Amino acid sequence: MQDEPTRETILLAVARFLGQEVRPLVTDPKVSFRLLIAAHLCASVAQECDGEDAQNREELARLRGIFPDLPEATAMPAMKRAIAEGNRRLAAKIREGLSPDEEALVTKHVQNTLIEKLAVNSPRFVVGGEIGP
Amino acid sequence: MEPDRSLPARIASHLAAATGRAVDVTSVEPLLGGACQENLRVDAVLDGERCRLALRSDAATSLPQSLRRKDELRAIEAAVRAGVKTPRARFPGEGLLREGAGFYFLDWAEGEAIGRKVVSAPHLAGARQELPRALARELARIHEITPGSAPEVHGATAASEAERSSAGAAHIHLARIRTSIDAMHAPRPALELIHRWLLAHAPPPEPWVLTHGDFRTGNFLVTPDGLSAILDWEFAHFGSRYEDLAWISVRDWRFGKNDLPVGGFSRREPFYEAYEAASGVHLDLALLHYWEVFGNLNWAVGSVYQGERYVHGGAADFELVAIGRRAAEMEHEALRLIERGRL
Repeated sequence: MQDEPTRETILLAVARFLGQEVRPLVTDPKVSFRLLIAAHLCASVAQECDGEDAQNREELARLRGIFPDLPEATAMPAMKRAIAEGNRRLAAKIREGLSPDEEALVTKHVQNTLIEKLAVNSPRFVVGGEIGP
Repeated sequence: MEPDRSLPARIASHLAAATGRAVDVTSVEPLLGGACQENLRVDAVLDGERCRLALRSDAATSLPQSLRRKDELRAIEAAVRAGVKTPRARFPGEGLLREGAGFYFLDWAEGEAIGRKVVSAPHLAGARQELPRALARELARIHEITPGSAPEVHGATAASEAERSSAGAAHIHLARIRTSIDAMHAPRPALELIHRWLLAHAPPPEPWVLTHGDFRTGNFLVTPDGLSAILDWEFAHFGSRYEDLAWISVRDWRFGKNDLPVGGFSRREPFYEAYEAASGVHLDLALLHYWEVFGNLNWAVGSVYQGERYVHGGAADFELVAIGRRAAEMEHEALRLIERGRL
C-alpha cells in the first residue's frame, strides 16, 4: 500500500490546481472549458476511489438478489468480475423478457445503480422527483 | 496542432477556381464547437470585396450516422429552397484540409451558438422570448420537405421504400440502435430496459419528412434580434417530425435550465402551439413523450460510443472520456420519463 498522500488526495490536488490556478490564466475559451472538464474528471475519479468498494458491494448485493448464484465476492478484482458477469446476464435477461415481478426488481436495481454512478460522475444532476414541466 | 501555413493559399486557389474571381485569403481561424466536423472561419477579399465564410470539412472520425459533407450540402440546399433560415452552402470540393475529406463553404451568419450562453446570456433575454415561435416556424418549413420533394437528399430512396411498405421510423432507428448496443464493449442493462420499452411502445408509421436530426440549443445562432440561423445539418435524415420536436427537450440540451424544457429557454406550449399553427399538424403529446424517451436513449448510446472511441478506438481527445461517463444521465432520464408515463 502506498503511503500518504492517498490517490484521492492527489487527484483532488490536481483538480484544484487546474481549476483554481491554471484556468484563470487561460484566455482561450476552448482551452478554459477543457480545463474545467479536466478538473471535474479528476475530482470525480477521486470521489470514485473514495466510495468504490461500498458502491460495488451494493451493486453486487442487488445483482445477487436477481441471480443468487453469482459469486459472493468481497474484494477486488473478484467483485468487479462478479458485477460484470451479473450485468452480462442481466442485459440478456432483459432482452429475453421479464415477468412483472422481475420487471419491478430489475428496474429498481438499474435505477439505483444509475443514481450511484451519477452521485460520482454528475453530482449536480437532480435524480429525484420532478425536474420540470 | 501545427498551423497549416499553406492553407490560406490553397483556399484562395479553390475559391478563385470556383468563382472565377481574384481571391486573397486574409485569415483562417478555427471555430469553436463542431465536435464531429472541422469548422474554420475564412476571411477573404474577392475582386476587392471583403467577405467572410465558414469552411466546413469532414473530420478524421465522426459518429456513424453523420453525413459526409457532400450529402450534408444537398440537405442544406433542400432546406434553403424550402425557405429555412440557414446559411447557403457553396463551393464544394475535396482534399483541402486532408486527403479525401469533403468540404464546402457556408455564408457567414452572426450570432451566439454556445448552449449555456444561449440559455442564460443577459443580452439574449429578449431574443429568448421569441425563440420558441421562431424555431417552430423553421422546423415546420424543414418538415415540409419529403422524400418525394427532395429525392436527391441522402436516404430519400430508402424513406420512400419504407413509406410504401408502411415501415415506421421508430423501428428503423431501434434496429440501428440495437446494432450499436450489441457492438458495445460492456453490457448496459439500462440501455436494454429503455430499448425494450421503446420497441414495445413503438407508434404506428407517420409521414416521412426531412428531419434536421440535431435540432437543439447549440445548433442555431441567436442574436439580440432573435434567431439568426439554423446550423449543423450533419445528422439530417428522413424520419418522423417528432424526432426533432422531442430532441430539443432532451434534458442535456436544456443546459441546466430543467424548468424550461424546450432547449432551456421556453415552456413547451409556445413551441408546440407555434409549430401546430405553422405546419397545420396537430401534435400528439404521447408521441412527444415517446420520442423524448427515444432521444435520451439515442444520446446515451452516442455518449457511450464517444467514450469507446477513446478507450478502444484510438481517438486522443480527452473530452470523449467525459462524454462517455455522462451516458448515465441520459439513461436515468429515459427511465424517469418511462416511469412517469407522460411529459
